[in-house]
Amino acid sequence: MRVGQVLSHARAARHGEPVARATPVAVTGVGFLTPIGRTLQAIDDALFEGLSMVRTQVLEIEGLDPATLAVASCDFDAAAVRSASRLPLDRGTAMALTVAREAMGQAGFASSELDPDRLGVFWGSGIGGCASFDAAASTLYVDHRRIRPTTVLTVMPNAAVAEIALHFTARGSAIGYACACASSTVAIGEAMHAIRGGLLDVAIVGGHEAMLTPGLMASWHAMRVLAQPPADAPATACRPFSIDRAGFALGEGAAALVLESESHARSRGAAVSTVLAGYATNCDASHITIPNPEGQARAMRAALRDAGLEPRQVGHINAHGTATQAGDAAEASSIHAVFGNTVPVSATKAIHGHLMGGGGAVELILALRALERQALPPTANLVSPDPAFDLDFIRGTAREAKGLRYALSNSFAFGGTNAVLVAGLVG
Amino acid sequence: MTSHTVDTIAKILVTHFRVDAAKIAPDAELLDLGLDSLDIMDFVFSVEDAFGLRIPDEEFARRGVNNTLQELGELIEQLAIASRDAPADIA
Repeated sequence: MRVGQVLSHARAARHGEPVARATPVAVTGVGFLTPIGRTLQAIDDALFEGLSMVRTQVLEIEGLDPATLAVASCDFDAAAVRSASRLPLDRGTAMALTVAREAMGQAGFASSELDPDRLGVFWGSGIGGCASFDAAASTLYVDHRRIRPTTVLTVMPNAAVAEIALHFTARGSAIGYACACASSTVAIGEAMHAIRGGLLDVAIVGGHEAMLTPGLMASWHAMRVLAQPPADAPATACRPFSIDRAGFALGEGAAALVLESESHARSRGAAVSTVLAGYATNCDASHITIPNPEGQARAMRAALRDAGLEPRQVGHINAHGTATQAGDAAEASSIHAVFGNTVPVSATKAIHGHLMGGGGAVELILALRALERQALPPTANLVSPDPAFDLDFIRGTAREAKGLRYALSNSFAFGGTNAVLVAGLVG
Repeated sequence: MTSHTVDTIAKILVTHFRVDAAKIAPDAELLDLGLDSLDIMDFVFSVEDAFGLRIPDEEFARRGVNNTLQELGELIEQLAIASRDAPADIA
Protein backbone atom coordinates (compact mmCIF):
# COMPACT_ATOMS: atom_id res chain seq x y z
CA MET A 1 0.00 0.00 0.00
CA ARG A 2 1.36 3.40 -0.92
CA VAL A 3 1.28 6.56 1.20
CA GLY A 4 -1.66 8.09 -0.67
CA GLN A 5 -3.69 4.94 -0.31
CA VAL A 6 -2.98 4.81 3.40
CA LEU A 7 -4.07 8.41 3.84
CA SER A 8 -7.34 7.85 2.01
CA HIS A 9 -7.79 4.63 3.98
CA ALA A 10 -7.27 6.48 7.26
CA ARG A 11 -9.63 9.24 6.10
CA ALA A 12 -12.32 6.75 5.20
CA ALA A 13 -11.86 4.98 8.52
CA ARG A 14 -12.23 8.28 10.36
CA HIS A 15 -15.44 9.12 8.60
CA GLY A 16 -16.98 5.75 9.25
CA GLU A 17 -17.05 4.65 5.63
CA PRO A 18 -16.51 0.98 4.87
CA VAL A 19 -12.95 0.35 3.74
CA ALA A 20 -11.14 -2.50 2.12
CA ARG A 21 -8.97 -4.49 4.51
CA ALA A 22 -5.53 -2.87 4.78
CA THR A 23 -2.36 -4.89 4.52
CA PRO A 24 -1.49 -6.18 7.98
CA VAL A 25 1.98 -5.65 9.41
CA ALA A 26 3.92 -8.67 10.60
CA VAL A 27 5.16 -9.21 14.15
CA THR A 28 8.53 -10.93 13.74
CA GLY A 29 9.97 -10.64 17.23
CA VAL A 30 8.97 -9.97 20.82
CA GLY A 31 10.87 -9.29 24.03
CA PHE A 32 9.44 -8.66 27.46
CA LEU A 33 10.34 -8.02 31.04
CA THR A 34 7.29 -8.26 33.26
CA PRO A 35 6.34 -8.98 36.85
CA ILE A 36 4.88 -12.30 35.62
CA GLY A 37 8.14 -13.37 34.06
CA ARG A 38 10.72 -13.05 31.33
CA THR A 39 10.13 -16.23 29.37
CA LEU A 40 7.18 -17.37 27.24
CA GLN A 41 6.73 -20.33 29.57
CA ALA A 42 6.57 -18.06 32.62
CA ILE A 43 4.06 -15.62 31.14
CA ASP A 44 1.95 -18.46 29.72
CA ASP A 45 1.83 -20.12 33.13
CA ALA A 46 0.73 -16.93 34.88
CA LEU A 47 -1.56 -15.75 32.06
CA PHE A 48 -3.58 -18.90 31.48
CA GLU A 49 -3.68 -19.91 35.16
CA GLY A 50 -4.53 -16.38 36.30
CA LEU A 51 -1.63 -16.24 38.76
CA SER A 52 -1.10 -12.76 40.15
CA MET A 53 2.41 -11.56 41.01
CA VAL A 54 1.13 -8.55 42.93
CA ARG A 55 2.67 -8.18 46.39
CA THR A 56 2.95 -5.48 49.02
CA GLN A 57 5.59 -2.86 49.55
CA VAL A 58 5.71 -0.41 52.42
CA LEU A 59 6.39 3.16 51.34
CA GLU A 60 8.35 4.90 54.05
CA ILE A 61 9.25 8.55 53.65
CA GLU A 62 10.44 10.67 56.54
CA GLY A 63 7.66 12.91 57.77
CA LEU A 64 4.86 10.86 56.19
CA ASP A 65 2.78 8.02 57.57
CA PRO A 66 4.02 4.68 56.20
CA ALA A 67 1.74 3.28 53.51
CA THR A 68 1.37 -0.32 52.39
CA LEU A 69 0.95 -0.41 48.61
CA ALA A 70 0.14 -3.12 46.11
CA VAL A 71 3.01 -3.36 43.63
CA ALA A 72 4.29 -5.71 40.94
CA SER A 73 8.02 -5.55 40.30
CA CYS A 74 10.46 -7.25 37.96
CA ASP A 75 13.46 -9.34 38.88
CA PHE A 76 15.96 -7.26 36.93
CA ASP A 77 19.43 -5.83 37.53
CA ALA A 78 19.55 -2.53 35.62
CA ALA A 79 23.18 -1.89 36.57
CA ALA A 80 24.28 -4.89 34.51
CA VAL A 81 22.98 -3.39 31.25
CA ARG A 82 25.56 -1.73 29.00
CA SER A 83 24.56 0.76 26.34
CA ALA A 84 26.18 2.13 23.22
CA SER A 85 26.12 5.64 24.72
CA ARG A 86 27.97 4.37 27.81
CA LEU A 87 25.76 6.65 29.90
CA PRO A 88 24.46 5.48 33.24
CA LEU A 89 21.00 4.15 32.37
CA ASP A 90 17.76 4.82 34.15
CA ARG A 91 16.16 1.55 35.29
CA GLY A 92 13.40 2.02 32.71
CA THR A 93 15.83 2.71 29.89
CA ALA A 94 17.83 -0.37 30.85
CA MET A 95 14.61 -2.40 30.69
CA ALA A 96 13.73 -0.91 27.31
CA LEU A 97 17.13 -1.67 25.80
CA THR A 98 17.02 -5.21 27.17
CA VAL A 99 13.64 -6.08 25.67
CA ALA A 100 14.48 -4.36 22.36
CA ARG A 101 17.59 -6.56 22.07
CA GLU A 102 15.53 -9.65 22.83
CA ALA A 103 12.92 -8.78 20.23
CA MET A 104 15.52 -8.02 17.57
CA GLY A 105 17.37 -11.21 18.45
CA GLN A 106 14.19 -13.17 17.93
CA ALA A 107 13.48 -11.41 14.62
CA GLY A 108 16.88 -12.73 13.53
CA PHE A 109 17.94 -10.22 10.89
CA ALA A 110 21.15 -10.78 9.01
CA SER A 111 22.95 -7.43 8.77
CA SER A 112 22.32 -7.33 5.00
CA GLU A 113 18.57 -7.57 5.64
CA LEU A 114 18.29 -4.24 7.47
CA ASP A 115 18.47 -0.86 5.74
CA PRO A 116 19.28 1.57 8.59
CA ASP A 117 17.36 4.40 6.88
CA ARG A 118 14.21 2.26 6.82
CA LEU A 119 14.52 1.02 10.40
CA GLY A 120 12.58 3.06 12.99
CA VAL A 121 12.04 3.14 16.74
CA PHE A 122 8.61 4.01 18.19
CA TRP A 123 8.62 3.86 21.95
CA GLY A 124 6.24 4.76 24.76
CA SER A 125 6.86 5.83 28.32
CA GLY A 126 4.39 7.74 30.44
CA ILE A 127 6.92 9.63 32.48
CA GLY A 128 10.50 8.77 31.51
CA GLY A 129 13.47 8.35 33.82
CA CYS A 130 11.59 8.21 37.12
CA ALA A 131 14.38 6.69 39.21
CA SER A 132 16.96 9.12 37.83
CA PHE A 133 14.72 12.10 38.48
CA ASP A 134 13.82 10.91 41.97
CA ALA A 135 17.47 10.29 42.80
CA ALA A 136 18.54 13.69 41.44
CA ALA A 137 15.83 15.45 43.48
CA SER A 138 16.93 13.61 46.60
CA THR A 139 20.58 14.49 45.99
CA LEU A 140 19.71 18.17 45.57
CA TYR A 141 17.07 18.69 48.21
CA VAL A 142 17.90 16.06 50.86
CA ASP A 143 21.66 15.61 50.59
CA HIS A 144 22.29 19.17 49.35
CA ARG A 145 24.83 17.92 46.90
CA ARG A 146 25.30 18.67 43.22
CA ILE A 147 23.89 16.29 40.62
CA ARG A 148 25.63 14.50 37.79
CA PRO A 149 26.12 16.24 34.43
CA THR A 150 24.30 13.35 32.77
CA THR A 151 21.06 13.89 34.74
CA VAL A 152 19.12 15.41 31.83
CA LEU A 153 20.14 12.58 29.54
CA THR A 154 18.95 9.89 31.93
CA VAL A 155 15.69 11.65 32.85
CA MET A 156 14.47 12.71 29.39
CA PRO A 157 11.46 10.69 28.21
CA ASN A 158 13.10 9.80 24.87
CA ALA A 159 16.22 8.32 26.51
CA ALA A 160 15.09 4.79 25.66
CA VAL A 161 14.29 5.75 22.06
CA ALA A 162 17.77 7.20 21.66
CA GLU A 163 19.54 4.23 23.24
CA ILE A 164 17.65 1.73 21.10
CA ALA A 165 18.27 3.72 17.90
CA LEU A 166 21.95 4.05 18.76
CA HIS A 167 22.30 0.36 19.55
CA PHE A 168 20.71 -0.80 16.29
CA THR A 169 21.80 2.13 14.09
CA ALA A 170 18.15 2.85 13.34
CA ARG A 171 18.25 5.96 11.18
CA GLY A 172 14.55 6.17 10.30
CA SER A 173 11.98 7.82 12.57
CA ALA A 174 12.90 7.51 16.25
CA ILE A 175 10.02 8.91 18.26
CA GLY A 176 9.00 8.79 21.91
CA TYR A 177 5.32 8.79 22.75
CA ALA A 178 4.03 10.07 26.08
CA CYS A 179 0.31 9.48 26.45
CA ALA A 180 0.22 8.04 29.96
CA CYS A 181 -1.22 4.50 30.05
CA ALA A 182 -1.69 4.47 26.26
CA SER A 183 1.91 5.43 25.42
CA SER A 184 3.17 2.13 24.05
CA THR A 185 -0.14 1.31 22.37
CA VAL A 186 0.08 4.57 20.46
CA ALA A 187 3.77 3.98 19.67
CA ILE A 188 2.98 0.54 18.25
CA GLY A 189 0.00 1.75 16.25
CA GLU A 190 1.80 4.75 14.79
CA ALA A 191 4.67 2.49 13.73
CA MET A 192 2.23 0.10 12.10
CA HIS A 193 0.78 2.96 10.06
CA ALA A 194 4.28 4.18 9.11
CA ILE A 195 5.17 0.70 7.81
CA ARG A 196 1.84 0.32 6.04
CA GLY A 197 2.40 3.72 4.44
CA GLY A 198 5.72 2.55 3.03
CA LEU A 199 7.82 4.94 5.14
CA LEU A 200 9.72 2.15 6.90
CA ASP A 201 10.37 -1.57 6.42
CA VAL A 202 10.98 -2.43 10.05
CA ALA A 203 10.29 -0.79 13.40
CA ILE A 204 11.34 -1.62 16.93
CA VAL A 205 8.30 -0.70 19.00
CA GLY A 206 7.03 -0.95 22.54
CA GLY A 207 7.32 0.82 25.82
CA HIS A 208 8.38 0.74 29.42
CA GLU A 209 7.75 2.21 32.81
CA ALA A 210 9.84 1.82 35.94
CA MET A 211 8.36 4.00 38.63
CA LEU A 212 8.57 2.00 41.82
CA THR A 213 10.53 4.86 43.33
CA PRO A 214 9.56 6.69 46.53
CA GLY A 215 8.50 9.88 44.74
CA LEU A 216 6.38 8.19 42.09
CA MET A 217 4.84 5.70 44.51
CA ALA A 218 3.91 8.62 46.76
CA SER A 219 2.42 10.47 43.77
CA TRP A 220 0.19 7.54 42.82
CA HIS A 221 -0.73 6.87 46.43
CA ALA A 222 -1.80 10.50 46.82
CA MET A 223 -4.17 10.10 43.89
CA ARG A 224 -6.09 7.33 45.70
CA VAL A 225 -6.27 5.05 42.70
CA LEU A 226 -4.08 2.28 44.11
CA ALA A 227 -5.62 -0.86 45.57
CA GLN A 228 -5.26 -1.45 49.29
CA PRO A 229 -3.70 -4.94 49.40
CA PRO A 230 -5.43 -7.40 51.77
CA ALA A 231 -2.81 -8.32 54.39
CA ASP A 232 -3.39 -12.07 54.03
CA ALA A 233 -3.74 -12.11 50.23
CA PRO A 234 -1.89 -9.26 48.50
CA ALA A 235 -2.14 -11.06 45.15
CA THR A 236 -5.89 -10.38 45.13
CA ALA A 237 -5.45 -6.61 45.44
CA CYS A 238 -6.42 -5.80 41.85
CA ARG A 239 -9.87 -7.10 40.86
CA PRO A 240 -10.89 -5.77 37.43
CA PHE A 241 -14.64 -5.57 36.69
CA SER A 242 -15.42 -7.00 40.12
CA ILE A 243 -18.23 -5.70 42.32
CA ASP A 244 -15.57 -5.04 44.99
CA ARG A 245 -12.89 -3.59 42.71
CA ALA A 246 -10.76 -1.02 44.47
CA GLY A 247 -7.98 0.17 42.19
CA PHE A 248 -4.81 -1.16 40.65
CA ALA A 249 -1.37 -2.33 41.66
CA LEU A 250 1.55 -0.17 40.58
CA GLY A 251 3.75 -2.22 38.29
CA GLU A 252 6.96 -1.91 36.33
CA GLY A 253 7.93 -3.56 33.10
CA ALA A 254 8.76 -3.29 29.43
CA ALA A 255 7.98 -5.02 26.18
CA ALA A 256 9.21 -4.68 22.63
CA LEU A 257 7.98 -6.00 19.31
CA VAL A 258 9.60 -5.99 15.91
CA LEU A 259 7.09 -4.87 13.29
CA GLU A 260 7.89 -5.55 9.68
CA SER A 261 6.10 -5.10 6.38
CA GLU A 262 4.79 -8.42 5.15
CA SER A 263 6.77 -8.12 1.94
CA HIS A 264 10.01 -7.46 3.83
CA ALA A 265 9.38 -10.40 6.15
CA ARG A 266 8.49 -12.64 3.23
CA SER A 267 11.55 -11.61 1.21
CA ARG A 268 13.90 -12.74 3.97
CA GLY A 269 11.92 -15.88 4.73
CA ALA A 270 10.96 -14.84 8.27
CA ALA A 271 8.38 -16.94 10.09
CA VAL A 272 5.24 -14.86 10.66
CA SER A 273 2.50 -16.18 12.92
CA THR A 274 0.89 -12.96 14.13
CA VAL A 275 0.15 -9.55 12.64
CA LEU A 276 -1.18 -6.15 13.56
CA ALA A 277 -4.31 -5.61 11.54
CA GLY A 278 -5.66 -2.32 12.83
CA TYR A 279 -5.16 0.65 15.11
CA ALA A 280 -6.88 3.84 16.10
CA THR A 281 -6.38 6.58 18.63
CA ASN A 282 -8.43 9.58 19.67
CA CYS A 283 -9.02 11.80 22.67
CA ASP A 284 -12.06 12.14 24.92
CA ALA A 285 -11.33 15.83 25.34
CA SER A 286 -13.90 15.82 28.11
CA HIS A 287 -11.98 15.38 31.38
CA ILE A 288 -8.38 14.89 32.42
CA THR A 289 -9.06 11.62 34.29
CA ILE A 290 -12.72 10.63 33.99
CA PRO A 291 -12.94 8.25 31.03
CA ASN A 292 -15.62 8.77 28.41
CA PRO A 293 -17.32 5.64 27.05
CA GLU A 294 -18.24 7.42 23.83
CA GLY A 295 -14.61 8.28 23.10
CA GLN A 296 -13.56 4.71 23.84
CA ALA A 297 -16.29 3.27 21.62
CA ARG A 298 -15.26 5.62 18.79
CA ALA A 299 -11.67 4.38 19.14
CA MET A 300 -12.69 0.69 19.05
CA ARG A 301 -14.92 1.23 16.00
CA ALA A 302 -12.18 3.16 14.22
CA ALA A 303 -9.64 0.43 14.94
CA LEU A 304 -12.02 -2.18 13.51
CA ARG A 305 -12.54 -0.07 10.38
CA ASP A 306 -8.77 0.37 10.10
CA ALA A 307 -8.49 -3.43 10.12
CA GLY A 308 -11.44 -3.81 7.74
CA LEU A 309 -13.28 -5.95 10.29
CA GLU A 310 -16.78 -6.21 11.68
CA PRO A 311 -17.22 -6.49 15.47
CA ARG A 312 -18.41 -10.11 15.11
CA GLN A 313 -15.02 -11.10 13.66
CA VAL A 314 -13.24 -10.25 16.92
CA GLY A 315 -12.97 -13.20 19.29
CA HIS A 316 -11.27 -11.68 22.31
CA ILE A 317 -10.68 -8.34 24.02
CA ASN A 318 -7.79 -7.73 26.39
CA ALA A 319 -9.43 -4.84 28.22
CA HIS A 320 -7.65 -1.88 29.76
CA GLY A 321 -9.31 -3.03 33.01
CA THR A 322 -7.62 -0.93 35.68
CA ALA A 323 -10.05 -2.06 38.42
CA THR A 324 -10.90 1.53 39.32
CA GLN A 325 -14.58 2.31 39.85
CA ALA A 326 -14.84 4.82 37.02
CA GLY A 327 -12.42 3.15 34.61
CA ASP A 328 -14.05 -0.27 34.53
CA ALA A 329 -17.57 1.19 34.39
CA ALA A 330 -16.68 3.30 31.34
CA GLU A 331 -14.94 0.44 29.55
CA ALA A 332 -17.72 -2.08 30.27
CA SER A 333 -20.13 0.41 28.77
CA SER A 334 -18.01 1.17 25.69
CA ILE A 335 -17.28 -2.49 24.92
CA HIS A 336 -20.99 -3.26 25.24
CA ALA A 337 -21.85 -0.39 22.91
CA VAL A 338 -19.58 -1.78 20.17
CA PHE A 339 -19.77 -5.55 20.69
CA GLY A 340 -22.81 -6.26 22.83
CA ASN A 341 -22.16 -9.07 25.31
CA THR A 342 -20.89 -11.66 22.86
CA VAL A 343 -17.13 -11.05 22.82
CA PRO A 344 -15.12 -12.67 25.64
CA VAL A 345 -13.24 -10.13 27.75
CA SER A 346 -10.15 -10.55 29.98
CA ALA A 347 -8.17 -7.99 31.97
CA THR A 348 -4.60 -8.95 32.75
CA LYS A 349 -3.59 -6.04 35.00
CA ALA A 350 -4.84 -8.24 37.85
CA ILE A 351 -1.72 -10.42 37.46
CA HIS A 352 1.01 -7.99 36.31
CA GLY A 353 -0.12 -4.68 37.73
CA HIS A 354 -0.51 -1.42 35.87
CA LEU A 355 2.61 -1.00 33.76
CA MET A 356 1.66 2.50 32.53
CA GLY A 357 3.73 3.35 29.46
CA GLY A 358 4.77 -0.30 29.17
CA GLY A 359 1.27 -1.67 29.69
CA GLY A 360 -0.02 -1.50 26.12
CA ALA A 361 2.98 -3.38 24.73
CA VAL A 362 2.90 -6.08 27.41
CA GLU A 363 -0.87 -6.50 27.04
CA LEU A 364 -0.60 -6.71 23.25
CA ILE A 365 1.95 -9.52 23.64
CA LEU A 366 -0.44 -11.31 26.00
CA ALA A 367 -3.22 -10.89 23.43
CA LEU A 368 -0.89 -12.41 20.82
CA ARG A 369 -0.26 -15.36 23.16
CA ALA A 370 -4.01 -15.93 23.39
CA LEU A 371 -4.21 -15.97 19.58
CA GLU A 372 -1.27 -18.35 19.26
CA ARG A 373 -2.48 -20.68 21.98
CA GLN A 374 -6.13 -20.47 20.85
CA ALA A 375 -7.07 -19.96 24.48
CA LEU A 376 -8.47 -17.00 26.38
CA PRO A 377 -6.91 -16.05 29.73
CA PRO A 378 -9.11 -15.61 32.78
CA THR A 379 -9.31 -12.31 34.63
CA ALA A 380 -7.67 -13.17 37.94
CA ASN A 381 -9.48 -12.23 41.14
CA LEU A 382 -12.79 -11.73 39.32
CA VAL A 383 -15.18 -13.77 41.47
CA SER A 384 -18.27 -11.57 41.37
CA PRO A 385 -18.50 -9.30 38.34
CA ASP A 386 -20.27 -5.99 38.86
CA PRO A 387 -23.90 -6.82 37.94
CA ALA A 388 -24.11 -3.50 36.10
CA PHE A 389 -21.69 -4.84 33.48
CA ASP A 390 -23.31 -6.93 30.76
CA LEU A 391 -20.21 -8.58 29.24
CA ASP A 392 -18.85 -12.10 28.75
CA PHE A 393 -16.00 -12.08 31.29
CA ILE A 394 -13.61 -15.01 31.30
CA ARG A 395 -13.30 -16.08 34.91
CA GLY A 396 -11.69 -18.83 36.93
CA THR A 397 -9.96 -20.83 34.24
CA ALA A 398 -8.79 -20.22 30.70
CA ARG A 399 -11.30 -20.86 27.93
CA GLU A 400 -10.50 -22.78 24.78
CA ALA A 401 -10.96 -20.64 21.65
CA LYS A 402 -10.48 -22.78 18.55
CA GLY A 403 -10.69 -20.63 15.45
CA LEU A 404 -9.82 -17.40 17.30
CA ARG A 405 -8.52 -15.10 14.60
CA TYR A 406 -8.62 -11.49 15.85
CA ALA A 407 -8.20 -9.86 19.25
CA LEU A 408 -8.41 -6.29 20.51
CA SER A 409 -6.07 -4.70 23.04
CA ASN A 410 -7.43 -1.55 24.67
CA SER A 411 -5.53 1.27 26.38
CA PHE A 412 -7.42 4.23 27.82
CA ALA A 413 -5.22 6.85 29.43
CA PHE A 414 -5.20 9.80 31.79
CA GLY A 415 -5.47 12.84 29.60
CA GLY A 416 -8.26 11.19 27.63
CA THR A 417 -6.14 9.37 25.05
CA ASN A 418 -7.82 6.19 23.83
CA ALA A 419 -5.82 3.72 21.76
CA VAL A 420 -6.88 0.37 20.38
CA LEU A 421 -4.85 -2.25 18.53
CA VAL A 422 -6.28 -5.15 16.53
CA ALA A 423 -4.04 -8.22 16.48
CA GLY A 424 -4.49 -11.13 14.11
CA LEU A 425 -3.34 -14.70 13.63
CA VAL A 426 -1.87 -15.72 10.28
CA GLY A 427 -3.38 -18.66 8.47
CA MET B 1 52.22 12.34 40.89
CA THR B 2 51.50 10.10 43.90
CA SER B 3 50.29 6.55 43.47
CA HIS B 4 47.09 7.49 45.30
CA THR B 5 46.29 10.10 42.64
CA VAL B 6 47.05 7.69 39.82
CA ASP B 7 45.10 4.83 41.40
CA THR B 8 42.05 6.98 42.07
CA ILE B 9 41.91 8.32 38.50
CA ALA B 10 42.49 4.84 37.10
CA LYS B 11 39.73 3.39 39.24
CA ILE B 12 37.23 5.99 37.95
CA LEU B 13 38.24 5.34 34.36
CA VAL B 14 37.92 1.59 34.69
CA THR B 15 34.75 1.47 36.81
CA HIS B 16 32.70 4.33 35.39
CA PHE B 17 33.98 4.56 31.84
CA ARG B 18 34.99 0.95 31.24
CA VAL B 19 38.43 1.90 30.02
CA ASP B 20 40.77 -1.04 29.51
CA ALA B 21 43.17 -0.90 32.48
CA ALA B 22 46.06 -1.88 30.20
CA LYS B 23 45.65 1.38 28.25
CA ILE B 24 46.07 3.59 31.29
CA ALA B 25 49.47 5.30 31.16
CA PRO B 26 50.76 8.77 32.18
CA ASP B 27 51.07 9.99 28.61
CA ALA B 28 47.68 8.65 27.47
CA GLU B 29 45.29 11.40 26.40
CA LEU B 30 41.68 11.05 27.54
CA LEU B 31 40.69 10.93 23.87
CA ASP B 32 42.97 7.90 23.38
CA LEU B 33 41.16 6.17 26.22
CA GLY B 34 37.90 6.52 24.30
CA LEU B 35 36.40 9.44 26.23
CA ASP B 36 34.42 11.99 24.25
CA SER B 37 33.34 15.50 25.25
CA LEU B 38 30.23 14.19 27.05
CA ASP B 39 32.23 11.59 28.96
CA ILE B 40 34.70 14.28 29.99
CA MET B 41 31.98 16.25 31.78
CA ASP B 42 31.00 13.22 33.79
CA PHE B 43 34.61 12.18 34.33
CA VAL B 44 35.60 15.59 35.71
CA PHE B 45 32.54 15.43 37.99
CA SER B 46 33.67 12.07 39.37
CA VAL B 47 37.28 13.19 39.77
CA GLU B 48 36.20 16.32 41.65
CA ASP B 49 34.06 14.27 44.04
CA ALA B 50 36.81 11.72 44.57
CA PHE B 51 39.40 14.33 45.49
CA GLY B 52 37.02 16.72 47.20
CA LEU B 53 37.96 19.67 45.01
CA ARG B 54 36.73 21.66 42.03
CA ILE B 55 38.62 21.91 38.79
CA PRO B 56 38.08 25.39 37.27
CA ASP B 57 36.75 25.12 33.73
CA GLU B 58 39.54 27.20 32.27
CA GLU B 59 42.21 24.96 33.78
CA PHE B 60 40.87 21.87 32.13
CA ALA B 61 38.95 23.07 29.09
CA ARG B 62 42.06 24.39 27.35
CA ARG B 63 43.09 20.91 26.35
CA GLY B 64 39.83 19.05 27.05
CA VAL B 65 39.98 15.53 25.68
CA ASN B 66 43.66 16.06 24.87
CA ASN B 67 44.65 16.27 28.52
CA THR B 68 46.98 13.44 29.45
CA LEU B 69 46.58 11.56 32.70
CA GLN B 70 49.92 13.03 33.82
CA GLU B 71 48.63 16.58 33.23
CA LEU B 72 45.36 15.83 34.98
CA GLY B 73 47.15 14.27 37.96
CA GLU B 74 49.46 17.26 38.33
CA LEU B 75 46.55 19.66 38.11
CA ILE B 76 44.69 17.73 40.82
CA GLU B 77 47.69 17.76 43.13
CA GLN B 78 48.24 21.50 42.64
CA LEU B 79 44.60 22.17 43.41
CA ALA B 80 44.70 19.83 46.42
CA ILE B 81 47.70 21.65 47.85
CA ALA B 82 46.06 24.98 47.15
CA SER B 83 42.88 24.03 48.90
CA ARG B 84 44.66 21.97 51.58
CA ASP B 85 41.97 19.38 51.14
CA ALA B 86 42.94 15.85 51.94
CA PRO B 87 42.11 13.56 49.04
CA ALA B 88 39.15 11.36 49.85
CA ASP B 89 38.78 7.74 48.82
CA ILE B 90 36.11 6.96 46.32
CA ALA B 91 33.56 4.35 47.16
